[in-house]
Amino acid sequence: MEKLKGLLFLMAILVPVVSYSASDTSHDMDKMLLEMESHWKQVIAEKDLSKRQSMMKDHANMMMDIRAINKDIPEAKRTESHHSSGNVLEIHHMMMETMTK
Amino acid sequence: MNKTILRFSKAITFIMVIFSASYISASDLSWHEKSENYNVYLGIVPADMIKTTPSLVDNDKNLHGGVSKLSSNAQHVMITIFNRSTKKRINNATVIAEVSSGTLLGRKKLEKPLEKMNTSGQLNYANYFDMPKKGKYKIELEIYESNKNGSDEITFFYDKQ
Repeated sequence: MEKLKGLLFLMAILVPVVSYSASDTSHDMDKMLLEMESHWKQVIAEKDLSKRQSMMKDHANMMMDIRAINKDIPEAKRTESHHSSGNVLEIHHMMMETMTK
Repeated sequence: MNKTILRFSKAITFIMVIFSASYISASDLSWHEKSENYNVYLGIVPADMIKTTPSLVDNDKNLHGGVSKLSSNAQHVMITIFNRSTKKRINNATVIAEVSSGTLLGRKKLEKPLEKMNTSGQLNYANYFDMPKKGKYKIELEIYESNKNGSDEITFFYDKQ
């Protein structure tokens, strides 16, 4: 009986977590987008040109990481977050382009 | 058995709190807002950091009213607009933006149209706005399409560092 209780308790924790991780990466995506937005504010607040250029490279890497996750999501599992992340990446790409000769 | 139920409830509550807290912060994304018909994405770059001459679709001779007239605090505000149901880019909208700051008593506001631009080969809407002080700015957009009645209104908040 005790073993059964223990098993039930473990399942109560693991089942939602495992099914969540397997079926929905939008939570990770949102978190990464939030970090990217926060980083962008630091980029445009930086007055030193060479530091800013280095930060822009970091920003481009952050964008590539998000893009890599986004492109691996099968169409059937794409959520609103996955769709909108592509548009967020696009406008960040546009902002970066205006700042690059 | 009661202890098991109690543990079970605590575990479920804990999981729900963790996930709901994450989604609250995720839903507060300042660069993406929705209206009835549109998904709108915001991008802001200080004008003095712009290195390329943005290309206007309508071939206006004076970009956004003239770059030479810009103050050192000008910000280049750009948006992209997508249809919420079809997810397609909106290329034919008229967009009016009002940027304001301050309290109700000391509110300063500036209203301008956002002009169509091509950046990275894609259409966006942009203009320069003076944001002289650090702090929160309210960016209110009115989006019109010629084939639709009325307009959609969307508000962003931008915290200038």
